[in-house]
Amino acid sequence: MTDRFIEDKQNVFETEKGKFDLKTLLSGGFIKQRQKELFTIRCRVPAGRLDAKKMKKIAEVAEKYGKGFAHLSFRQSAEIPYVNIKDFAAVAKELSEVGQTIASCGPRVRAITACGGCEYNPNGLTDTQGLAIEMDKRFFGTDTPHKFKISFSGCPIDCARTRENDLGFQGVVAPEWDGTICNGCTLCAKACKEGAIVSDEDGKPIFDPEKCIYCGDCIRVCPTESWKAKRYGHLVRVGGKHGRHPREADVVRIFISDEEVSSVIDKVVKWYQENGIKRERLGMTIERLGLEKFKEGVFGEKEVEVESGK
Amino acid sequence: MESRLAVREKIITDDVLDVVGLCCPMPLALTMERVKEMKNGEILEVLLDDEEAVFDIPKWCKKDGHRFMRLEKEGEIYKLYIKTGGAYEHANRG
Repeated sequence: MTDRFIEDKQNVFETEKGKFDLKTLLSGGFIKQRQKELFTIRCRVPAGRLDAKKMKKIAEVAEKYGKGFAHLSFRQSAEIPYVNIKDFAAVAKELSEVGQTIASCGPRVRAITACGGCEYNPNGLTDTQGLAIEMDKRFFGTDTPHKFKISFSGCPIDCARTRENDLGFQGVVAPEWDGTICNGCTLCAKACKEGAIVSDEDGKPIFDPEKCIYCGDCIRVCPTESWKAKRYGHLVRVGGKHGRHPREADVVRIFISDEEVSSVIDKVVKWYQENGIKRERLGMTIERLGLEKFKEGVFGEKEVEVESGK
Repeated sequence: MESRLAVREKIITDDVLDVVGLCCPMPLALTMERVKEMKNGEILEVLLDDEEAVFDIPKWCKKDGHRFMRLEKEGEIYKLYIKTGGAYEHANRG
């Protein structure tokens, strides 16, 4: 039985303004639909942060050229389905009036996703919004052997799924205890979900760094501010993916600073470009060559010390 | 944790508020009301079994200037000790 939607295998379209090759369209975020000549336009929304004026324009375009709705993709893009191929130029022009650009598909760095981060989320430890937008400006669209997804989560709850991205940065905070002002209330031991803190006979905490995942719950809950933040940073995960064969990312670094994020992305992308083969995700390249080889190539060290914090 | 805490010196309380069986936001709301009626320096013991309130009440204490003294657990019941207006008498606190 033939699927009537897959019957149409035509890849080059003739229009009034010339020929469109589907392959070049794909890099620009125009996704072919089941229906002939109709496409979904993927709008780039780094960090999932969508200006009200862009929202209005997307709504306007969806009403004028689409079916009056947008679809929110799983990686925070706003997609406008049912746009006819003959309207591409007009749609791109109208969206660009408010600075709305088209996202990417295909083998390249995709729009960077992020959670709310420390700007307004009570759990957030890092400025995921600011970093994702800045890194998206620098790395979006860079050609890679296969798709390359980057995300930022502000804390170990990991809403932005750094474990399922090719490269993920997750906020961490190392706690430090000041015994001189602790009143032994035992609230930190109750708050710690990892069992890293137990109370002694005076209610003072006994800390097990091996079990700590650096979430900062003890710091937030402490009534006397005996638990303080020693340092903030990012935990770096590489080689994750979802899809039909998901792969959980490997932790390769912990407590890197905001300033180091850009160079880590740069090094990982370069290593992937040099070592990856076409249509092979980063996780597969790492499995083929070994995690040690990856660490050596990217960080120039054989054994990178990674504290707990999975 | 329970057996260890049992050996600690008992806190002498001025008032007891029993909100066992009530869930968020009632334990916090009733604690706020009761603390308002008390004098500065008096100690309130709150009995509850709501898991959220265990954290919400200390958080409010910090904001409103009360000293959260201790959390104890007896069976399924939590005991929270609050010293009203006592947040700033602690050493090294600005």
